[in-house]
Formats: sequence, structure tokens, C-alpha cells
Amino acid sequence: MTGALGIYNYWIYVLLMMIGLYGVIAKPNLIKQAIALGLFQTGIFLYYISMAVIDGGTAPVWTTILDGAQKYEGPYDNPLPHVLILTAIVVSVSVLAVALALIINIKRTYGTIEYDELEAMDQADKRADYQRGQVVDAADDVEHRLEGHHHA
Amino acid sequence: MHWNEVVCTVLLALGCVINFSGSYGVLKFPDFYARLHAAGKTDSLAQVLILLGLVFVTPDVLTKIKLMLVAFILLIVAPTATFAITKAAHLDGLRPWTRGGRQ
Amino acid sequence: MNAVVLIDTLLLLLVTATAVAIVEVRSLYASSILTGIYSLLMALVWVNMHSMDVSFTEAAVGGGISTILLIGTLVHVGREEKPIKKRLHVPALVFTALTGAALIYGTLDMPRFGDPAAPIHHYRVPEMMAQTVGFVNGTPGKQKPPEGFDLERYRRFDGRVTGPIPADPTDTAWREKSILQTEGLIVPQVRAAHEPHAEPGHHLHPPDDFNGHVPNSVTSLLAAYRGYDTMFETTVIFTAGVSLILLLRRPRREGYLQPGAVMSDQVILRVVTKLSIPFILIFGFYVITHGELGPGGGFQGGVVLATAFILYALIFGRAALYRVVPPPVSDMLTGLGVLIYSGTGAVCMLLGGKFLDYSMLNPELPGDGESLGMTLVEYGVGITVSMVMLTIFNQLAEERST
Repeated sequence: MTGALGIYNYWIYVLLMMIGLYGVIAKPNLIKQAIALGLFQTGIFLYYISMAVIDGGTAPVWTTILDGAQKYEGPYDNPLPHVLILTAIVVSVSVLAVALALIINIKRTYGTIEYDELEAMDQADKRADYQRGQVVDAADDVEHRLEGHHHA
Repeated sequence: MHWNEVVCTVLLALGCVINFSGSYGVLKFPDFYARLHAAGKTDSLAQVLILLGLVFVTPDVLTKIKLMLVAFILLIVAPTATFAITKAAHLDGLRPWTRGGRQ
Repeated sequence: MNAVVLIDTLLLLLVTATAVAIVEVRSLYASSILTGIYSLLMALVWVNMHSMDVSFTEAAVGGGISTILLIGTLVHVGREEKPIKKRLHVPALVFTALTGAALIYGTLDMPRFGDPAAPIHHYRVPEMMAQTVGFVNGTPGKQKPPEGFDLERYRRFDGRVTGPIPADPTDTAWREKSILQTEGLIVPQVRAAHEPHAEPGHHLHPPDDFNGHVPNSVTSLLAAYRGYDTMFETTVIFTAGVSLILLLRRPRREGYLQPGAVMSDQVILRVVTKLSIPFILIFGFYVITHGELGPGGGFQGGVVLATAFILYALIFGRAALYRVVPPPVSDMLTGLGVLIYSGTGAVCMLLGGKFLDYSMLNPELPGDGESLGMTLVEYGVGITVSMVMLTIFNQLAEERST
């Protein structure tokens, strides 16, 4: 394994990350964006785990401690990236869950989860407010809504 | 080659062939139920064959027991999962394909 | 080209194809299922790269939980994406191509895949692991002992060595001495040349923070070397559970537990579920407890435990699940896991060590103390992870019935 063949793993990681990034940018659907973000993360995981591999290595579990008879003299893969990614995977599912909860709330409030429609609705809201001469910027917007809430 | 390696190779090859036929069926069959039939049935058998093949080459007795346990559990759980998917599709109102077109 | 590289290439090609399909397919439902397939393929890739723990986690989390969560969300946001007129988003394509080209240019400087001379294999972690774990029980695993390494003296560090521990007159007062040394009140003895890291510390504990008595080095790094990190990762998961509750939980109204299409009238499903749930629970606890000896640990075991509850809820309805694990109980257990983790650290501190210095739990046999501490910590992680996953599932499912 020399030359290009030696680093193809890193190219696949770039490819996966870019597929994820493309999904996040190009797809207006929020669920699709959350999934694509997951792809992006997996690309990074692949990068880390690829770095841990060593030629002729094996899983970093020291069998010599359990069973003195089975001696293994060869190298072990580096366990540190494994540890980092192990926790990162579980955190990524937590991130996904929070994202999904937010998406559900968006669906509940706006009735859609397509980003361009959401943007259009926000713009229309702002334009209508502006024409009524009520709100010009976001801070005012929040105050305005709070006041409206109290009055209601 | 030792005899157990021969047995293992045969079982693994058989499992792979059956798995492959299942994949071919998934691509070839006309509707959901037929495809699930291909996937579910072949998967159960192929998994068991592959795991049994591995039992023959594992030196450790504990690992052998674990592999057989996994094979046994898969034999129960995989058809049940297939059944659950089929039932859900049926409850959802998906009708099976017939030669004369959809009912 | 050897077989490993061949399998690796094939798997990575499959993974890439699946990734393209996930992004491009229009049905969100198909996209979610493909995400599950993608995760299982990734798990295979990681087995091929000898990363068993990560593979286990990916299979449990990516193939199991996140697919369930995605499908649970699709139930109330719709399963089809809005049709897009232009299939190809040209600015995004140009941007990703440029970024990708830059990253690939960066990889040209990387050491080749599996290069033993890569810096990662020669920095602090492998060095220290070779010194501690490699020699445990007096059987050098990875490297030759350093010049003048006294194996007999080292064996004394290991609780599992049979036979009489050599009498050492200083052993009786080792605790006081080590504390005094740590506080800088007495100067350490003349440093023995054969000790790899003869820093001030107590004698029975291998003089580093790797806790090398635990066979699965991933777990020992997870719980000891990166113990703080893992503790706060657990806190992140806890926070995610709390966020879900804050975002989605609403006051219980009458009939909030209206069962949907419960599958429990299917005899096969009912029987097999009842048959397999005990096995899933036992397996979950086995994975948590066994985490220090083999692949597995709190994260994976916690997810496995959660799947047992989720399976129960799927088949028998959430009302039945709430009778088994009422929401207040699961909320409390979510916090309890983090408390167990940090409490273990605090106990170690009260016993005179540093935070999360597990060998303090059993000063006579530090190896056993480390095992005990790691098991406790893994249980903390497992409880939090399982209960957070359950809470997330409950909140996403509850949304449907309100």
C-alpha cells in the first residue's frame, strides 16, 4: 500500500462529509438536513478511526491479562480515537433527538418543515409588520410579541 | 485443511449463496410481500448457517456457546420481525400483488 | 492488495452509495431506513478496522435507536419531501466540490493508512499503555521491558498475582507517605532508575493515570484517562433528555394515553416479545458489567436496555410501559446515572485520592479497585443513557396522541 492506495480511506471520509454537507445546503427539508448532518458526522468518525489503525494490528483488548496462555506479541490499534468516537456517536444521537424535537415544534407552529417555505413565511410576516409600521428589527419583534402575549 | 475448516467453508459458502439468492429475490420480485418473503426466509437460514460455520472453527468453547445462542435467538426473532413488518403493511392496507393486477 | 483492504474498499463503496441514496431519495421514510442500513454498514467498516466498541455503539445507536426516532418523527411531520424542481443544487455542488478538494489536498500530507510510523502511534497514549498494560501480570505483551526493569517489583502492583507479595517495610505507611508526597511535604525517595514514572504517588498504584489492570483499554481510557470527558458526555446526554422534556412534554390531559394500533393482539408478537425482553435486559446488563473485560460498556449497554423498554412499548402500548416505568421514575433515574458517576469520583476524593482515582476504592488491591470503580461508572453511564433514550422515545411518541 503506497501512494494513492495508502490514503484512499481519507478520501472516502472527505466524500462522506461532502455528501452530508451537500444535503445540508441543498435540501430544504429539515428532516433531510438533520439526517445529512449525521452523514457529515460519520465522515469525521471514519477519519478518526482510520487514524487509529496500525498495520497488522488488532482490537485493543489485552487478552494477556485474562489468559496468560494466549500471548499476542503484535501491535494493537490505538484505542484513544475509539474512545472519542464511542462517546461522540451517543452524543450524535442526542443531538439528532433534540433536532427532531425542534422540528416537531416547528411543524406544530408553522405547519411545514421545508426551509424555503419557513423563510417565505417569516419574510411575509415581517413585511406585513413593516407595512403596519410596527416592527423594524428582531429585538422589537420579540418585545412586540411579548407585549401582545400579555395583553392577550 | 483440517476437517472442521472444510465444514466451516462449506457452511459459509452455502450461507452466502442463500443470502445472495435472497438479495436477488428482493430485486426481482414484484411486490412488497414477495420481496419480504425472499428477504426474510433466506436471511434466517443464511444467518444460522454462517454462525454454525463459525462454530466449527472457533477454538474457544464459550464463544461456541455464544455463537449457537445467537443463532438460536436469530432463528426466533428474525421471522417474528418479518411477520411484524408484514402485519403492519397489511394493517396499513397494502394489498398483495396478483397476476391480474392489483385487487 | 490483501483481503482486509479489499473488504474495506468494498464496504466503503457501499457506504458511499448508501450515503448518496440517503440524500437523494425523496421519501423521508426510505431515507430513514437507509440511514439504518448505513449505520450497520458503518459498524462493519469499524469491525474491519478493529474498533469493536465503536462498532457495537454504532449498531445499537445508529441501526436501532436513531432509526426509531426518525420514524417516530415522520409520523407527525409527513413522510414525503416536498418535490423540488431542480434536482441538482449547483451552488451547493460547487461549494462542496471546492471544500472537498481542499480537504483532499490536506490528506496528501497524512501518513498512509495503517502506517506504524504515524505520529498517533508514538505519542503519549501508546507509550504509557505499553509501559503499564503490556506488563500486567508479568507477561510483557507489546514491548520489551526497558533496560533494568524490575519485573518482581512491578508484579507487586498487580492484585491478580498469586503467591506472597514481597514484604516491604515501607508498605505499612504507604498511604500517609503518598499523601505527604502528593502535598509536597516530603521529598520523594531517590528515584529508582527502573521505574518508568517514579513520580510522587502511592506505591501500589502503577504510577500513571491509565489504570492498566483493565483488559479492554478502550474502557480504561474511557473511564480513567478521559474520565472527566466521559462524565460530561454523560451530562450532555442528560441535557438532551431534559431538553426533550422541556420541548415536547405538555400537561397531561384526559386520554393522553389513547393507544394507537397496539400490536398486542398478535399472538406471535406478544409471545416472542415476552420471550426476548428478559434476554435483552440480561444482555444489556452483561454488556455494561463486562465493559471492562471486552467490547461494550455503559453507552452500548444502556442503549440495549432502552431497546427492551421501547420494544415493550411498541408491542403493548405506552400505557403498559408507563405502568412499568412511570415518567417520574425514568426522569429521576436519568439524573441518578450522572449522580452515580460523579459520586464515584467524589468517593475516590474522600478516600484520599484524586477525583475518579479508582484505585482508592480498594487500596490493598488497586487493580480490583479500578475494576470496581469502572463498573460503577459504567452503570452510571448505562442508567443515564437508557433512561434518556427511553424519555426521548416517549416524548416523540406522546406527541402523536396529543
